[in-house]
Amino acid sequence: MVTLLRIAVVAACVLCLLAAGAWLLADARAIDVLRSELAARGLRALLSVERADVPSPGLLRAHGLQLRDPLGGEEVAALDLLEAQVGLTGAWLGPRLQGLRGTGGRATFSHDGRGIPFVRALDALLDALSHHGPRAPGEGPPPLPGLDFRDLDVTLRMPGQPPRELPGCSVWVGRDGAGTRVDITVGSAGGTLALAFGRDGLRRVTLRDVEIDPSCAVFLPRATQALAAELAPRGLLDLDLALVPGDELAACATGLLRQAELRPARLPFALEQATLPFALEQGRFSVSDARLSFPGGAVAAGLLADRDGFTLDVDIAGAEFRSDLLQLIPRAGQLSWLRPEDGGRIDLQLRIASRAGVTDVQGRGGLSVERLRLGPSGVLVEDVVGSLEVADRVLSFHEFSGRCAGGAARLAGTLDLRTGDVVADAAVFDVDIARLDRALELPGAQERRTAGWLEGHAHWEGRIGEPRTARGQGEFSVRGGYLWSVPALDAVLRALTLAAPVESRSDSLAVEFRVKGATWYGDKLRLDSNVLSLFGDGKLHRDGTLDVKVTPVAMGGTVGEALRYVQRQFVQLEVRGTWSAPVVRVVPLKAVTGPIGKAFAWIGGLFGGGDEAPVTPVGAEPPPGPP
Amino acid sequence: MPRPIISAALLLLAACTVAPPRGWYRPAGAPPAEGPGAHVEQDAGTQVEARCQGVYVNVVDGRRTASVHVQLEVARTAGSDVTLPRAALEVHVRLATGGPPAALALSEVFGGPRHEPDDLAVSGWTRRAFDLFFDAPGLLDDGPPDSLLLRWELRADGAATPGQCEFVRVPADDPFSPERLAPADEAFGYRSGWYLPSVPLGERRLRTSGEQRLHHLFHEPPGWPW
Repeated sequence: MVTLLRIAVVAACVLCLLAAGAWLLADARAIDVLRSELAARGLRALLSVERADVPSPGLLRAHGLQLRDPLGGEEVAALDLLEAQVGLTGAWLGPRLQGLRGTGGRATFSHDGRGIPFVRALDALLDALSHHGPRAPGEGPPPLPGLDFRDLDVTLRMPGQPPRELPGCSVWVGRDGAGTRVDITVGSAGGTLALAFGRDGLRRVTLRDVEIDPSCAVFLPRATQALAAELAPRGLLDLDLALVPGDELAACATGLLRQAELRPARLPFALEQATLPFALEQGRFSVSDARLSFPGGAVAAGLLADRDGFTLDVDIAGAEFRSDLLQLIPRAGQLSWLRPEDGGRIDLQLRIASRAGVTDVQGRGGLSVERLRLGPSGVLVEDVVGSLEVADRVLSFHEFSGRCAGGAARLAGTLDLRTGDVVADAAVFDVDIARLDRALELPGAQERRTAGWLEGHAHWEGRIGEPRTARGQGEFSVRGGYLWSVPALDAVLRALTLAAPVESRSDSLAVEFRVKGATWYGDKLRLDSNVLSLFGDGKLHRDGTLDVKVTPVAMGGTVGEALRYVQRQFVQLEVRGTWSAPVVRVVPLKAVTGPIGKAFAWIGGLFGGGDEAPVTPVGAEPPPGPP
Repeated sequence: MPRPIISAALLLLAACTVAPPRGWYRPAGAPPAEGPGAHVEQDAGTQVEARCQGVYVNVVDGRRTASVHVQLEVARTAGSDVTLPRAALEVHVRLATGGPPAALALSEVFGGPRHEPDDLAVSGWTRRAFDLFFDAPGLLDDGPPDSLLLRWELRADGAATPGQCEFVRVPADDPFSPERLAPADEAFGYRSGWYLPSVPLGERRLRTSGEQRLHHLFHEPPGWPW
């Protein structure tokens, strides 16, 4: 009896030792067994394992798994730990997988032009597990075990967008009828994503409450990815997308993007609080009755897009005018002389069509701008109102008008959005030049007693950002004015040794002019006042330099008219220097030459205070030729 | 020459040379300023700017009459059109002698250089200038009225919005009284924003000079009184 007991104890010990040895052997060989199994299923290129162990009978743990793209071989997912429940029933035909559970790791979604590598890899993995598993005689494909992955960090990569990290995602893969279903629960962001695979690949994508950003365009058909990149959508997405593998045009979808925000690259601000119902059918993506808000207004929009381009209809009604709307105009950065301020109203109906890389914009609208500043000194124009039209990439602005320096200004013309060419007709009425003088911030404006009422009109052509292309012509007049405190006229008075006239506000000025590049040519200048009239021509450069020749005619006294002709023969005044520091030279002409000129110069020297340049010989410089 | 005849001739001469009374106005509450000043009223879709160019004697259809001259600039800051019905445009005059205000109906309107026989219409996103004349032969009999109340109505998008503006007389001793101004350039017509100050007005008729103007001139020089 004791002997039997000893034998039993020894046998038990030996069995235990054998079991332990077998256990140790199995544990040590687990990685080899697993790799062999993967090789047998044709998965070695798709899936690799770093190491494996068998912590208990029927449980296999694999560490450091890599899932690779079956086409390119790049890693698309990595799992820290995968536990496989192995059934021992019918084990002589090989162990049977009863469940897979993974923890930790990362997966990357991107689009390589042929599809999404992760989806491709998953597709291949599911296919291998379904068709190459061990089978009993007469048995169909073994049921796919459920795959349950937890705590996955998912990264969405879309060209041109920063990668989107979705930490803490859960993925479940299982049978769904004849196909396979992949359910992804997005971790901290919330929402669910369901992928349904048929035998031939991904067939359906369903999203519920998924918070999307532009990188999520990776899931969209290629035809709509460019549009998604253009609109940069964010929001909560519900989507039902049905796909036919290998036939992109057969995809169809309906969806709704809620609490959406769009940041179109061409808009200077985001469109927010949007509700975008959309559909995809036969390769055409459409958005209808979308309503979006932007700071100060709302826009109703519709969109139709296909692989060739898109057509976007935009309707903005009664929105608040914003200064950054100016950035919608091409080359807006070169419009530094035009500075609208926030405030006003805008209506705009636009159709933007992009086909074969060519964008066309058609539309019309109107706007009012409460305050607008023009030019380097920012002359204030208020209550601007006008209408717009865009056709064939030419923006027409119809009779914009506004209040300026107590008067009014009008502007109409066209802007070629392709070339930046501008054609404009402008007019001013009843402008108080005293206020204009101060607004222009010309030197000495605060001290000057300039007065008068300005009217004029001009036609102007040129190209934005290229001042040398400017061409223009027009005329203006100042009436009921006092102009002798203008630096050039003040210098003329002093050159002629005349005292400044009393401020009777009866001066009138009439000018016909042309503009070429940065130079303004006064072809006909005529100033009439009680004491003196001036006739002449000249030019003014944008840097302030002057070159004007005028003939003075004294109007005071009873002999003014009689002397007009004679005096015209006597002297001419050349006004040079700059606008704020003019230099006047008296030039004797025709019949009377040297002595008269010297006399004027001598007298001017006595009373001119040294402002005038020394008298130089007549004809030292030829008069300006026609530009 | 008998003395009564001389006296009569002198009186006639005096009658011919003394300028008829003329009243100048600025919006009630506006501070004294060089020009006539403007009353500005803005609602969601329309901006109305009103100036009074005074009450003066002129000749309309061959008859001397006093007229209230108002300039309106209407900017439509919306896509739909706005209309100012003629019937709703009127001036209520508070006479210097007291009594209830008298209502004057609109007599004639010019929109820029065009005669406006119908309601005043302003298209969406445009600005138009109008010169309104309210004629009343005896209006200056007791001197210029103390104040004028201009009333109008804006009709747009199926709604009617009334508006009004009161103008008060610029006293003769006001430092900016247009009565102190030298006569305006008759070809230009304005001095410091006032319409033909110190210039006798004759027949009311559009005078176009061919140049672009916001407000044109509407008066010929006066003819002989016979």
